[in-house]
Amino acid sequence: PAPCRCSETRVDCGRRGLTWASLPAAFPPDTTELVLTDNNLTALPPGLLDTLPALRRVHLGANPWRCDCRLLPLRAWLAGRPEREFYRDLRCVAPLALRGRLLPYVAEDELRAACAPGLLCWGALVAQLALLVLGLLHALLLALLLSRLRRLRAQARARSTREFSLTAPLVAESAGGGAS
Amino acid sequence: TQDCPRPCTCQSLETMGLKVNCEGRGLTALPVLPANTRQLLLTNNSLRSVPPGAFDHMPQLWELKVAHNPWHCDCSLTYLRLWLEDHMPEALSHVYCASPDLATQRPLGQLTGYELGNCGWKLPPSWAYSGIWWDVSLVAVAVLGLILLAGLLNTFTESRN
Repeated sequence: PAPCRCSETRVDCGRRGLTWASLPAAFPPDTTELVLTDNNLTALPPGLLDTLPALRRVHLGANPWRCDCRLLPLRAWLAGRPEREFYRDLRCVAPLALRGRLLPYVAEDELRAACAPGLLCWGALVAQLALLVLGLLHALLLALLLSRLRRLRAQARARSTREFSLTAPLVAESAGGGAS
Repeated sequence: TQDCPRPCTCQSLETMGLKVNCEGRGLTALPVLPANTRQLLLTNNSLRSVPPGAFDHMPQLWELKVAHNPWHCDCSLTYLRLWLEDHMPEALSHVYCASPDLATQRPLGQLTGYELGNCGWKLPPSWAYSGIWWDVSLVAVAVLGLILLAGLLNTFTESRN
């Protein structure tokens, strides 16, 4: 891979300021040793180490590991290592609640809880927003119906007033006839 | 030694570092331990759990004795199990659980992750609180709709009369 140097099956990507985005997407499948020391890695792409079946050793020190759910693949990979002593000094830099913790001893639940709400939560939020919009639309329609009915009632009152005024002359005539 | 926690006794080791003896002190919680601890004896106390990360500031710690404590083997004990699995796997068979019922009198090493208990994925409190306000808004809108509907029915009845 471009920013790294290879010698036989050892791939050295140390001290190159690599981040999640600039990390090589793949390494030679026969890699046995991988150096990622002293970069700016907060996590590794999921499955990156799983594509290297011959991998015996990874140097991961001096990186600002962010211990949230994106670090679960690396955490699971470490748990499967037969030689644990090489990875005992990996520490979390973020989030604040897990700062200073040793990565091999952070439980999976702690990593998951440290993540921002997942897709399910955002889906729930969208559903609630949709319900809110539908509720407002419902209220608007009801208000329109209410105003239309009030207008109809006003028209009905106007008609009854006209009928009353038409009957007034008849009353006047009968009064005049009585006098004569 | 000035760093020795109050209920325990400490002795310096020839190979640097401390041996911290807290055996049989009736401890219910872990005391603050010096960073240069190499041996830590916690046998015969009343400890039920260990705070996650409690040993992370002691890089030289290589011997930890935790038998004969009433461990509560739920998810909060995952940290202790992970630490012992890495440093002293054989010790797991001597750590017995006092509770919960599923785990009573079984060695910590024999419990599966499922049996150790899953705390579940907990949403951050701030997020949960904001979600409640959304629900309150929805209820308010629904109530407003019902009030308007009642007004509509009332008007319809008046116009028919």
